[in-house]
Amino acid sequence: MPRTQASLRAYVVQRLLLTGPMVLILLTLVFYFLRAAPGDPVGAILGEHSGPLADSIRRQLGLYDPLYVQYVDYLRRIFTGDMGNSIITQHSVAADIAQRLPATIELTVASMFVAVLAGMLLGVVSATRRDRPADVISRLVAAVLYNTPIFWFGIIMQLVFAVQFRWFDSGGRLSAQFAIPPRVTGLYTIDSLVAGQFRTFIDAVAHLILPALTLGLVLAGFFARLVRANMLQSLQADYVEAARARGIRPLDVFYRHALKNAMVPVSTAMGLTFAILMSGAILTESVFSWEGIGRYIFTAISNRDYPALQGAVVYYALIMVFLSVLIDIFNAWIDPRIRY
Amino acid sequence: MTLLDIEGLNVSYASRAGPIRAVISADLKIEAGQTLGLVGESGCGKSTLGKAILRILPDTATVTGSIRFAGLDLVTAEEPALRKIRGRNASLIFQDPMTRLDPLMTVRHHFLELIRAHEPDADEDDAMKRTRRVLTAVRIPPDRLDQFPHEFSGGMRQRIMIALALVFNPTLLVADEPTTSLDVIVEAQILQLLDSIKNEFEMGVLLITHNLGLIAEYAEEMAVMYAGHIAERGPVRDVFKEPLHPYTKGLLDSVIDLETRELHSIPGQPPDLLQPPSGCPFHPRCPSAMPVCTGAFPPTTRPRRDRTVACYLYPG
Amino acid sequence: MPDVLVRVRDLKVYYPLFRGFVQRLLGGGARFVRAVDGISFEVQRGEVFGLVGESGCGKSTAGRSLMGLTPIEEGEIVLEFPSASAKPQFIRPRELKMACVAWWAVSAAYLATAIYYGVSGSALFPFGLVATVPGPYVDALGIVGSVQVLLGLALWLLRPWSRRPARLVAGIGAAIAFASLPWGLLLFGVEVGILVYLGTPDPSGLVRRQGLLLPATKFTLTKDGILEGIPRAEQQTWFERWFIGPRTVRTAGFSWVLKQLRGKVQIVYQDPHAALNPALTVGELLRHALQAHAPIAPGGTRASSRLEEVNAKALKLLDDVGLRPPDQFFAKQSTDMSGGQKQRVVIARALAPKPLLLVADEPVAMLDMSIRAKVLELLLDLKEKYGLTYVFITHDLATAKLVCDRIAIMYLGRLVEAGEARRIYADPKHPYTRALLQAIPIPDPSRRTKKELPKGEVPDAVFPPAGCRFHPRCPVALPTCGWEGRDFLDYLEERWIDPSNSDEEAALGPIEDWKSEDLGASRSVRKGDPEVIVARVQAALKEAPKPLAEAVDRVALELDRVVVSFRPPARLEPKEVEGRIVECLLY
Repeated sequence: MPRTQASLRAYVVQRLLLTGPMVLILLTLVFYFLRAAPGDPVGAILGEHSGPLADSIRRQLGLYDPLYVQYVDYLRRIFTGDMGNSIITQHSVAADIAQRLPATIELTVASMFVAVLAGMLLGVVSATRRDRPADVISRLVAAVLYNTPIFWFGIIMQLVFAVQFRWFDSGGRLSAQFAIPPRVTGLYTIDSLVAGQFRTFIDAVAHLILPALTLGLVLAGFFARLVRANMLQSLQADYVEAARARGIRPLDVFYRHALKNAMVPVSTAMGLTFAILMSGAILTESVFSWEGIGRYIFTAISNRDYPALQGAVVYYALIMVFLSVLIDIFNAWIDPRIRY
Repeated sequence: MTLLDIEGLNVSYASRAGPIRAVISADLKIEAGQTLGLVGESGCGKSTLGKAILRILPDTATVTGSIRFAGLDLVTAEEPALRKIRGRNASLIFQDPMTRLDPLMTVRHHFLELIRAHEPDADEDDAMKRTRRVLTAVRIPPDRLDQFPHEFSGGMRQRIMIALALVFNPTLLVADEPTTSLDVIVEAQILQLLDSIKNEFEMGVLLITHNLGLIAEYAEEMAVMYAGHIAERGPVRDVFKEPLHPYTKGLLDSVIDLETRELHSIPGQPPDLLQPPSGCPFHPRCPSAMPVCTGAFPPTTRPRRDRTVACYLYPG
Repeated sequence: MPDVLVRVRDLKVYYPLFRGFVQRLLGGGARFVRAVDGISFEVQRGEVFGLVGESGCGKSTAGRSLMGLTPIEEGEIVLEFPSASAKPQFIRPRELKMACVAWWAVSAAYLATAIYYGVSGSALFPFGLVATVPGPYVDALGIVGSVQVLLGLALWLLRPWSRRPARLVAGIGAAIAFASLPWGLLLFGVEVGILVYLGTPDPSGLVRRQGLLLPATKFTLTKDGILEGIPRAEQQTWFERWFIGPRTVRTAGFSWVLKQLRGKVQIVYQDPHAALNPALTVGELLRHALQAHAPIAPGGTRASSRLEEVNAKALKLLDDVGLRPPDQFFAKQSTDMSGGQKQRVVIARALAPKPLLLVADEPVAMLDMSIRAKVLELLLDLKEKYGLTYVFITHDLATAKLVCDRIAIMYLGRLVEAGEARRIYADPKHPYTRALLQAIPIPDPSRRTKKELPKGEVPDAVFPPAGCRFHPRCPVALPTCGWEGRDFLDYLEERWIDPSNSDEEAALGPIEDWKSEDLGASRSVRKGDPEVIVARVQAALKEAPKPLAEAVDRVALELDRVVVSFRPPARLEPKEVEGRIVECLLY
């Protein structure tokens, strides 16, 4: 049998080369679906009026150009970093997004943290105590969390922890008495630490807790089910039994063999969940008045602000591509069979 | 010297439809340097018996009786003591080598993990020296240590499993259908290897198989299992020459080899383990069944020297 | 009545190996698993023909190819059955009709929207009026256009019927969607023209053009699909030839010709547990098989679709395979049965369409020893009762000896020995046949012998060895058998397992430093003294097995590399030896 040493580096190069076409396809889909949706931005701004004003705006936005002209123009603009101006705020879309992106990143990373932690915990507990009370309870919790509408859950969290107990504020990223820390990354938690403003940091974290829990716990439900299913499968795998038969300590069998093998499908799904997380962020940010991209998209949709919407969606799409590349490389790193 | 002494071993699994009795009051003995062939059809409990020796059955299994090995009773022994025995004094190799190695781990890691599990202070050089020694014994080039399991063929993976089993010179090797998923030529290669290793390392081997041909070629003693019971036990030559239990007779008749001229089979179907027949479980398929067979399970008797059989045809 | 049922000529079946997209761009094209690599054999009517070999030798692939279940790379399979009925059958592809109806519906919607907005926006004429098209019109066309693209894709998936028209539809749909102009109306006209020709759901027209006239008794399977039993190319209109291509049917995918073939050739699988859908009862399983292959009346309805009739047939089948009482098994879930009973159901299901050829792929390998004989007996009984011919695939030479009239022994995609079973068992000629026979365990403890086994395992079918494929393992190989560079490397690696050769390994190794290319193996001599390395290689060769050592052409220094090169292998051809075909240089 000829030996084919599968190299991780070759896989990474290959994966990165594939990213180019993938981005192009994605951008094309974004463009196409936004155009195919019914409704007209100009009509939305001006009501049902038509006339010379509407006509001139349409002409200005290039809506009368054939679609392929609009498409080429769209691609050219994206690659030069120019996403046009928002119809509503009149600012450049790129600047709007740059300003709001850190808030969303802060929220999604914190939520992902909550989701992974809670999801893994619930999943592993349920898998190792299969069909016992702990399993039944954590499965129930997971099912409830997973099926809870995110905006409703957010409002309940606000009512309980902000209105009733007054432990946290119901919205915003900082209390009024704190100044926004000098911008380094745009993440208030990190910026405040960099600036040495410890009280601001505490306040920023306190504001982060409710939205991150809201978004994170809903995802944790999904995660828990995933982890449980994959753990059950890998715990019953032949190599796990074989490892036990060799006298390997149960804890080692669990972590080194069962958990690691279960992580391959789980981490793939984790990348996909990020998409859910992003869409969840739109609702969460609206409920908690969190000035991020989610809210920006929400406003853009309600106002038919095409340039803004298109810009934000393109950003989301690019982040997703980046994440999926990352996840693929991570998987290839732990599973040698993936590296062709 | 008796290496392994199993007496009155019972294993039952809990299931939604009630307990499944997989092994029922089994007695077995293995001497050092001897191969005991355990033969039976699928679902007869032979694999359960093999795993029960190392106590790696799932949580749903209940084990009673006694398994005396290495100065311990493995039925009552605590988990830490059992863990010291597994992979060190007694090793287990399995049917399907394709799935028995962790796909995410290199072969080197499998060996390191095993050696460190039993000797936490072992340094890597020493561990690798021992690994080389066993790899040489199973003819695997040591320069392939850093490859992953999927880069090896089926026969080579089984050799790696055997090498893993040999690291600590165990006194007992349980081989659970070690060649069933391999081709005839590789099967013969692996079994010849096991045979030579058995002599070299002076191990006792429990060879679990459904293939009577393998028992005839590689075992000295044999035991036949049916529906959880040991139907018959004795030296391989004697049992093949004069099978006592009707099931053994039927099984020997149904073997297809190059000299078979006529097809024989045992009528009926293997029993349903959830609702085994009363008395001797073989009676619905048995050509010489008597009224007494439906009553209670026949007592084990010793009609010939070194032979035991559980059948009413041979009263004490 | 033809005596030869199956004629296989130079059959090659290659499975493409999945490789990454970029890798394929960089690394010299696709690679293939050469599952079957040039075999020829014939199966006579009423015989049991055995295909025997180890796993991965291509026996299952060869068997499956008889049903048109595999792609064919080269060669052909001709199956000729006695004609049961000369009555032509008309078949109307329901799926195509449905697709056409759906297409029409969407097109109507498209037209309606276009006219509605077009009239109100006075944009019916495509030139110069672009600016007056209202936004909603653009949107509506976009939506309809995208639906059309999707439908085009769906049509494309209904290969092979509508591959080209569907491509056309998809392309046109995309063009409309992107242009979003009243030009679309013009294109729409073109589409209507094409569809009027192709897809008119008029029964007579459809049957004439798309249906098949099938009193087929002879099927020729080749790379291009099934060649006979269907209208010839000259019977097609120029338009069909142009847009649909020649009337051959791809083996992969949906086709009525294939279905006809599969009514006549059936398969019994190895694993009865996996072959039966656990969600269905035995009765349902059999009913599906019976109904799927029921003859079709000219109107398009199936003839014996009445439930009582089908049930009666199913019960008869159960009785025939020895599942008695049949009505009790009829209602059973397949999961409630033992392996032997399940295999009987698999056999009954295979018999449902009244096949003439049964491919039995290791039918007893998964069964317990005590019931194997029963199932084999059943198969032999059914053969007489139903007038069947068997292709019996097995790895077990002992079973093959009992049931087969003639056998063919396969190794790595080639036939090494084929002929009458009696002769081959009495005096095997090919070294591989001998090795296989010797490896079978003998159930007699008084006849224990030490076996001389071939080395190693079956090599990778992606890179089969040169010359005779068995030569690296063969105990009686000759220097002309096809020795090549990698055999030398395998020899070195095997040699270095022994610690006593560690100084040689230090001088020549590690094995990764060596490269093998076809007939040569080479290694850079930048590290170490070239003279010493050459001397070491020669010393190692001196201790090598004779055929390998004698096949070496020369050991030489070329620039900075030491090269070991081998003589090219002798030509290997199947020869007739004592009443059987053998592919071996010994004869």
